[in-house]
Amino acid sequence: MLATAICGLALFGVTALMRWLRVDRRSYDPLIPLGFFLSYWLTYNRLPSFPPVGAVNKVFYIAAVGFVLGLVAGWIGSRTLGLLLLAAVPLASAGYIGDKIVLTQPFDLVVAAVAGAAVLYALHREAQFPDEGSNLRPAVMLAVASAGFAPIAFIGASSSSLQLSLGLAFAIGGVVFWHLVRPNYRFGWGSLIGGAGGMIAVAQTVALITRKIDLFALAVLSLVFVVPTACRGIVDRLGKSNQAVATLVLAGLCLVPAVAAVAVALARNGFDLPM
Amino acid sequence: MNYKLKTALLAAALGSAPIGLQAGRAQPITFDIDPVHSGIVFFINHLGFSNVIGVAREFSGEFTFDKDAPEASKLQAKVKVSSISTNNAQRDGDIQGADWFNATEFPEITFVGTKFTKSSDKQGLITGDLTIAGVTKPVTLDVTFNGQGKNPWDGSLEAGFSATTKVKRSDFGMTANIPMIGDEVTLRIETEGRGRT
Repeated sequence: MLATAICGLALFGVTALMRWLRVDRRSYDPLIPLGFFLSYWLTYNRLPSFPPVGAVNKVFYIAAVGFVLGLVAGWIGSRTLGLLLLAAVPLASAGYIGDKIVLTQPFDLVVAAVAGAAVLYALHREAQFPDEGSNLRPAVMLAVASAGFAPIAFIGASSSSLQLSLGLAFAIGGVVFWHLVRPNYRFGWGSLIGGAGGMIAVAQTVALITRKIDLFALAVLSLVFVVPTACRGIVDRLGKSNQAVATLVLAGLCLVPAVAAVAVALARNGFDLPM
Repeated sequence: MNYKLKTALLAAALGSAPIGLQAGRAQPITFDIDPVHSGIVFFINHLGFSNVIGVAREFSGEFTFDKDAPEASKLQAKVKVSSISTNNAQRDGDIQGADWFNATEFPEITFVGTKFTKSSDKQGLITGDLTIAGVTKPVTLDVTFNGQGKNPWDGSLEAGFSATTKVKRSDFGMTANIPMIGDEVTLRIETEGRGRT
């Protein structure tokens, strides 16, 4: 758990410095992918070999390539490229991670790709609203989903994914903290394709390769990504009076399906993992 | 040469007499690893308190061996990853996952001997390429030659070896939970080979 704390503190410190320096809001876009890479490095104690051997190594390069392509889409301001990446990266990552099962379980790969693209679209859509808190909401959703995914992955036989996911959740928490009041944050294509795309690749690895994760619990967890839509009235009303409260309430609402998903995983699988 | 060693060599020579007589000297014989009388066990440290024991239940392989010229030996073996057990069903499932052996992508562990060095009549080293989870690293086994001769039950030619080595799992990309779960893994292998006739 020390690694998780380091991720949170590192991004907390970097974001504090950036706010103090009053950098442009677009400069915050790389922070979530950097949090992901830091958490990956602390989880696996290394950078993966190249070319990558095995799904765990591939995850890093999927996130790295997604991050670079996402930044390019942001720099040139191409929404078309961004949307193309949004659809293509989960598909490519599912195919790349699951290349050994592409002939035997193609349906699993398609589901993993479509689910990944749907999650990315939900995050992207939330950042398109014109209110000043709109870019914080996808970050909050991703943080809560990562935190909820962590114990589900752990129960599903991936202790490394637990650490990686919690590290990212805390890293995002460190970023969001400094934008609760007077947010000046940008959840751009880099955050989406590199950061969220990296987490999608992690989930695909646990689902397609380790194959012990509770898919029903994952389905419940995916409800995190529809919470802002379902609770639009509450979030909008609170946002007009107090943006910080609106963001915190959203986080609390997102926690409901996340906690429910963990409860489902525990109820269906028990928790007797030998440590 | 002491009496026991003379007797052993005589027994071994008699055991392989038909083959030896054909060539005028001992010839390399190919043996299939007999899984019924062989075993692969590993030990891995847990929090510094104990060494958890794991076994591989399904493995196969063959070796070619001439006790007069062990340097010319050949060896290849493979272990079915899904057969690896640590005496706990939950953990056994976990170690098949992507963080560990990654059985979906890499269902087999393989070892191919590349260099055979005799250090005494009963001792030697086998260096070879060990491939785990898609990563190949050189590994050297400390080998004890237990003996070669006829199986009194069915008359087949048998040869037996014991081997130990230590590997770092991190060398094979398995870095999960280091150092709580140890990086160094001690392997012990007991092999009995049945000569092809």
